[in-house]
Amino acid sequence: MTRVTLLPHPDHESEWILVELQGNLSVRKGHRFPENELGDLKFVGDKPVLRIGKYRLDGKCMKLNKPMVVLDRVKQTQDDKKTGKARVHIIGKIYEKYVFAKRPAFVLR
Amino acid sequence: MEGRLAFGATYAENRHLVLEVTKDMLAELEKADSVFQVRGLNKERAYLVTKDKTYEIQSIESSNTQLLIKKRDESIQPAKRLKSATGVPDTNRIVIEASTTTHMALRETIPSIYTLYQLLRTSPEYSDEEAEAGGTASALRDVIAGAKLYRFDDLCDALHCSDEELRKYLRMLHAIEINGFWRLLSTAFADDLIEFVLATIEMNGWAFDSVPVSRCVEDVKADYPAFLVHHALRLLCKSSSEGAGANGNKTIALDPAKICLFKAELLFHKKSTISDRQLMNEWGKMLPQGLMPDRNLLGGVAIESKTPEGVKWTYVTHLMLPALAADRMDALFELRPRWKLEDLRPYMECLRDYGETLEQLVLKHAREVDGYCVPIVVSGLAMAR
Repeated sequence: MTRVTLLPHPDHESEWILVELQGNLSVRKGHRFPENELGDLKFVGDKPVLRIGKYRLDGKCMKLNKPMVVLDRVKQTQDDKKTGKARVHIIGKIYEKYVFAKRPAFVLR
Repeated sequence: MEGRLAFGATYAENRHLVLEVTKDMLAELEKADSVFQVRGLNKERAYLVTKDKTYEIQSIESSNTQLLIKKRDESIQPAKRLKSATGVPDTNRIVIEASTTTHMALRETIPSIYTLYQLLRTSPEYSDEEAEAGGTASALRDVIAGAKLYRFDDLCDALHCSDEELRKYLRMLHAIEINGFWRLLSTAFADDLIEFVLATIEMNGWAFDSVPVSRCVEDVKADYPAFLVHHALRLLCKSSSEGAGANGNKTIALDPAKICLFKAELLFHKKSTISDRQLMNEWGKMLPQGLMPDRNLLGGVAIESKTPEGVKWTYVTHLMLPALAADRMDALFELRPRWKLEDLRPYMECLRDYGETLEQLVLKHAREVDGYCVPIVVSGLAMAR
């Protein structure tokens, strides 16, 4: 039976943020996500605002009721496979998220 | 954190997993001896175990997309921050490392001692026959060839529970580790073993609160090997001195209540139902000097019931009852029609879900009348509906 051990990575103290968007992100045919840009994030007061192309999304900051950890799979070694072990690194912690739930507003400029 | 959101060079959907934890678990992570392990991956459910707790892992899906972004270290000078693909320093670039539409949530659970008990019962009980063969590894092979035996890790995998919870349950079941395998002792063998050890202690005039372990082992060695004597002493000792028996130079304090309870169970093993008068009379005669029979010790061991012939006691332990709560309550009401909640505790405690009180569990299967728990009776009118 495989046992997966969660181990703190040296970088496990780093803090991450979740940005929650309604729906799915897609990229044009022939393009890939990596190295493409999504948009601009800024704050108006304490509220995050996301500008994607001609659209503006207003969001809010929410503290998570329970913190989360970000996990990264570690490739199994031959020994791991023989002994049925696997490892996952904890690479960061999440305490808050920016939620963009409102309908995007079309912005001319 | 303001800037231009950009997908990182290694961005991928579901590249990282997100797990919801508790604040205590975050603190636990920092400790050198922390244990966080996922077990049961190949089964329907997976569990996260720490040193002493078990959590069921639940996958929570969302229709929303969640982007995972590592917070920028604002102390780094802009020129030293991540560069774009062109190599030009991007002073306000926020890298999206991954995205996900699910996260894992944890629900604390209490593993079932009955699952462990059923597993251990599939192994042959350690008995006289094996003891006479010497209790060695070769004797083990000869006596129980082909039998299913369990090491500690096997039991952990089967129960998907933390190491400490498993050790606690093994102690509660009086299981013993023999040549690396966890076994139960047969009732007759355990009775004889403990009787012999107690008789040796009394014969030598050792006080119950300071039994010299190595001398006890030495005196008994012709009849029982050391590991069995240590096991017997652990079963009888006070909680605060558990484990002290492993070191032969130490003394160990026996618990008078455990000695009294052992003697009562000896009686019940011979006769499962006994009148109150006979119980108190015979029990008193079996006890060492200075100890008195006490009905209050019988909670969870025997059930008192009033009959036309007088008060009777019936030997019933929680391991003798069905493992499901509804079936167990039915069986208990068959034995006695009314129960105080506290009298049900030793029989129902091990069936509670995490966060559930005893009262909540019992009232799913019974109703309260004048301070007593009674069966839920469907009225004739309700049945007619």
